[in-house]
Amino acid sequence: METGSRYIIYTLLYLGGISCLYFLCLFTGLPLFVSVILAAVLCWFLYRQVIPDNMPGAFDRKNTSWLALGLLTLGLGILTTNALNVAQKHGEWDAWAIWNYHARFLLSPEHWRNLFLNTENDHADYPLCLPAANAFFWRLTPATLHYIIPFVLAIFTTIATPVLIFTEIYKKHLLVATLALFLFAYNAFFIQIGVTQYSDSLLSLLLLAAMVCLDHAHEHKKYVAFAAALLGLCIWTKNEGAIVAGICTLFYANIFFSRRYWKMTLMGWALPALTWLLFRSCVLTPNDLIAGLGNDTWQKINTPVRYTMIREQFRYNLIDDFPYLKNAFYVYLIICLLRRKLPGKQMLMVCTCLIAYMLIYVVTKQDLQWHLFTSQNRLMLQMMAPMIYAMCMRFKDLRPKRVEMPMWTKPE
Amino acid sequence: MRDKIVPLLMLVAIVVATILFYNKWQHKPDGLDRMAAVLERASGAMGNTSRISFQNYPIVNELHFQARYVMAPRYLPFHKYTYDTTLTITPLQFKDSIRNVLAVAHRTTLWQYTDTSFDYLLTSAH
Repeated sequence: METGSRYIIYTLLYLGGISCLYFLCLFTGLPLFVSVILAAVLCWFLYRQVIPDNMPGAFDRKNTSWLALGLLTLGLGILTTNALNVAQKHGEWDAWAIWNYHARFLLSPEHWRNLFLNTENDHADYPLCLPAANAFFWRLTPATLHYIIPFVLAIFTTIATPVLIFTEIYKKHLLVATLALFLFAYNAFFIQIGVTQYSDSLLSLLLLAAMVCLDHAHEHKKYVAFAAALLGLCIWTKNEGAIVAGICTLFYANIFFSRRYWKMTLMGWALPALTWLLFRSCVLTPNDLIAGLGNDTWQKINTPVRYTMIREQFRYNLIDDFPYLKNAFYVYLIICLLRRKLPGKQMLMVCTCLIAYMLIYVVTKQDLQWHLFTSQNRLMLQMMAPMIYAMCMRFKDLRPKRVEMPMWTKPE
Repeated sequence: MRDKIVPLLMLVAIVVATILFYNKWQHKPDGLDRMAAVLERASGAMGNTSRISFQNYPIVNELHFQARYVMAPRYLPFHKYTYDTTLTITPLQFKDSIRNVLAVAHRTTLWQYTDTSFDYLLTSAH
């Protein structure tokens, strides 16, 4: 795995780990200094595990070109500038009505359980990966700087997503990597949601990082543990993360549950699973996805107009928020057709996740039109980065074929 | 060796973005900051069993969430309280009528404040 990718995965695992440990300390009533010590130990442990390059023949690896570094710098400059232009001080509505609001509860070791008493007009069942990470860093910073912390996490996810794809591809096909980087840099919706301080971008990055780790599972078995941990963190980040993690685990069951790797899988899952189970023991309301199921579910499934509404809104979002993605997807399909290959496993997995997401809307207990309007484009955004990564993994093999000169034309 | 420049570039981008974000917003209060400042002023007179009510429906939601955010983690749903004090937030155009209603209800004014958009009135039933 490339150095840049390893640092991004290290940071992600570290943030997720801190979030879990901080919540466990709150749950068990341990003081802040214990969380700080655990965070320092985690930092050292993960550094020792993630950063070393275990790829066979790592020393023979192709060096990074100055051109690639220049393009990356340009891309980062555009991303940062665009992000700063749209970033609000306290994020958008859901940031201060849900995510940062929950973080404010977790800031208080005495009153944090009040969060779960807000069962009406709140989302007490939403997992706490992002709020707990924010709360941990808030407790270490003066109150006047609290608004900076969620922004730093948001800008990290916004930047790390395209950079992770870029670092994975650029040595194989610089043009494809650059196109992917600039597709993100100029996608207004991706940047806007990235800095709203919501959890959608984080979930997207966690899934992407898990896919990257699984692609490198053959290099070292530690990458299977990292992938399992990242999928576990998906569940700890958002309720729909359980769908993503479940589908990804099923698609890669041959790796996760193979004789060689199953212990790694369990090790990766351990901390996020324990944290999530304890969190669920505090929550008084059912998961909002499951709560939607009732007597009228079958009737909803048999109502064609619901499917039409979902499809129309999907089409509208695709045109409005992801203009280039649709074209890139068509190119991907054409390439698959020309090469007489089926779409890759990663693409099938992402499409399955998207279909599963859309099925949520079929059975939702909310008003369908309102629910689609408020969240469908964000769910699509969660799949944007994994889909672009899946496309790039196919596009990177595209090279003009060298025409072999016939023997008789070669000089003696 | 050049591979290590990639995470360094990312770090530089994050640091620069954070500094610019800080410079942009440090002295620029938004709605949440204004709400926090007002609730800070009112907090001396507000007990743990205070509630906040809002007038004029179209903006209730946003104000409600802002106040709730600022008051967390003390904020609980209304039905959990036995209210002793109430902070009423009203758009300026309805200020007088709301004050009259509260006066007729024989509520004692504990604290009042008016900013450019809203009137804040903390009253007690006693």
